[in-house]
Amino acid sequence: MDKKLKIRARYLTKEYDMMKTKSDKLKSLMPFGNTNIEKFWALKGVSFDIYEGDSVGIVGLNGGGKSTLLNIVSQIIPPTSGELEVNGTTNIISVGAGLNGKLSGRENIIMKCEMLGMSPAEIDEKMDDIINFAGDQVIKKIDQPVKTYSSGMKSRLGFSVLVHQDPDILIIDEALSVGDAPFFEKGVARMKAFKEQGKTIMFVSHSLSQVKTLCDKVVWIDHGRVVMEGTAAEVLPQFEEFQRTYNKKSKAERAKITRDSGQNFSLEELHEEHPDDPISYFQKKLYDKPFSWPTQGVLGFLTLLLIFTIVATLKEVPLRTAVLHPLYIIPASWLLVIVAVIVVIAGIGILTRHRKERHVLD
Amino acid sequence: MKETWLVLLEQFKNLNVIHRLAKYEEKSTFQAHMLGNVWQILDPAINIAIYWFVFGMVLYGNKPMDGYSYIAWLLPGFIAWQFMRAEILGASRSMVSRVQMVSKMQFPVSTIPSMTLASQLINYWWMLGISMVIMFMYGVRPSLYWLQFFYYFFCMIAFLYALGLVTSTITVVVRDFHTLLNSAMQLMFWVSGAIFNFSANAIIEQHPMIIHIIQINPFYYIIAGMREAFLGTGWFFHDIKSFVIFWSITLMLLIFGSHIHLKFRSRFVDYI
Repeated sequence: MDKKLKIRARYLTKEYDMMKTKSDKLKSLMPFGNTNIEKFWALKGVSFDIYEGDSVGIVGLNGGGKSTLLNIVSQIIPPTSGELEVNGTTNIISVGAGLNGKLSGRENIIMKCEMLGMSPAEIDEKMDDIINFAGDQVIKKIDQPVKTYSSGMKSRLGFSVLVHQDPDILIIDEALSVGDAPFFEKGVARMKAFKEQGKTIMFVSHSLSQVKTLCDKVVWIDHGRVVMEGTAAEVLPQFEEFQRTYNKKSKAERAKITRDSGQNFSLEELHEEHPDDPISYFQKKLYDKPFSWPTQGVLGFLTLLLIFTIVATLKEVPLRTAVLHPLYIIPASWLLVIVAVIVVIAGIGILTRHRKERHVLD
Repeated sequence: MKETWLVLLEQFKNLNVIHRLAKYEEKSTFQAHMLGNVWQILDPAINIAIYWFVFGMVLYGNKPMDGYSYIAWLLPGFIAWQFMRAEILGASRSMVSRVQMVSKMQFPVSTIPSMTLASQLINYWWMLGISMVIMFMYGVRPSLYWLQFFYYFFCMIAFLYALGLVTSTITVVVRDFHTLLNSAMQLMFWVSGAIFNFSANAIIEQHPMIIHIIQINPFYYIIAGMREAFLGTGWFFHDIKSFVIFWSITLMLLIFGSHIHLKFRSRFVDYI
């Protein structure tokens, strides 16, 4: 295999807190709060390799973890554990990407391009292409506020902006289903052009025919696990078969399966299944990074300086006198109180760090 | 310290983008209004007229303040206050209202509070220009003291950005914070010296402790400083204690703000 590795995922997991009430949410923020909040594992150890020029379709039922996976790969949300290596820039295309309804279509294009990091010269250059790609209706209304657009026009405009970026890895989340047939054709043609340039595409769609036309590799994800991986011809028939049997089940049954599978999981189990891989893949990424020592030092110094100066101000002692005779403005007993407060704060900090574990991108 | 540096670096790298996006934001705010951007000046102008009448005419009876008429005394501090209030309330909501938009792209989210800052600043320049004309009409003349404006302006921007970083992050996690902040700003208005002259008050003169406590307030430092600069009543380096207090508060906010910002930033989407 001489193709370059683009995305390497190892045992990606994502855990969500199921915060049902406001007080649960508040508790999760408190350092000493009850951490007994219901968890839901959206991803349970997903691994795959994607090489340059691959176009990979991801199929699965609703709530199977497809969008979560794409968001993790495009580095919008951090995984709970596991390792992700992405070589190159990613760009996620998704329906309902934010447009400002009060601004005109043209202004929205400029704004979005700016946010994606394009230079004004580049935007000028691509402006006509972007408008033309979005279709006739949009061309007519390009200087009208976007709030007057139909929902189809809005998503076409958003889609058009995003496909005119130049990422190495294109991630498409259901975006092609927004337009009518001619727009879909145009989108597919664009994707194929991307493919020919040797770019990598990751594609989520519920339309299996779309997956068939665009993807040469398919990953089937169900309940946060990879069920099957292979060519479209291998995976899709089995997936369709599965979909048929699943649809026969009652609604309550299906909801129960989803809920149970979201809870019946632990990282230790995952590690036991794969004992040969390094333990670091199975550890939660701690994000609660404490203040580093220099930062703590600076903060502590500033706090003391602030207290000292405030006391000097309130006692109307000139700063020079205060610095020369510190005990004159702060009696020794006060000093003890201040030291005690600092010790207590530091103690609480150390304790909470051990009490609570959370995850985040490093 | 690394975190603070990282956040500041993101601002400087994206300075152009911040500036251009701020213009669009400003455009979209008043897009549906007949008078458009005129409201940005009309609204504070009406406020100034009210305070001028109520405090200048009725309460102080046209008594001169620091040797100038009340309106000349009011303007430099009051427009700074208007700007700070609008910015703080805007910045605290900025992340919540914008995360949806930037959630699907890799955009340096730490620049969002700066965008609010930049768009409010456009407004401030206008107000400053107009009030300079009015101050001139009421006998304020340019002097070397005006150079201090640059120092206090820098103070204002640094403080507002640091505070914006803290409040915008907290608002994402706890939405109630914005409402709390709104009430807090109401209180701040009365204790920050935007319309009262604390040093010319008989009761406060008897209790110097009150003025000392007010002086700790960073808003007071900026507002009083702007006044000193334009009316030429003092130099900022004569009051080292206030200087130390202001900057230690600002730096602490900045360090704390960049810490919690980076801590929560990757999970902002989860909270919306």
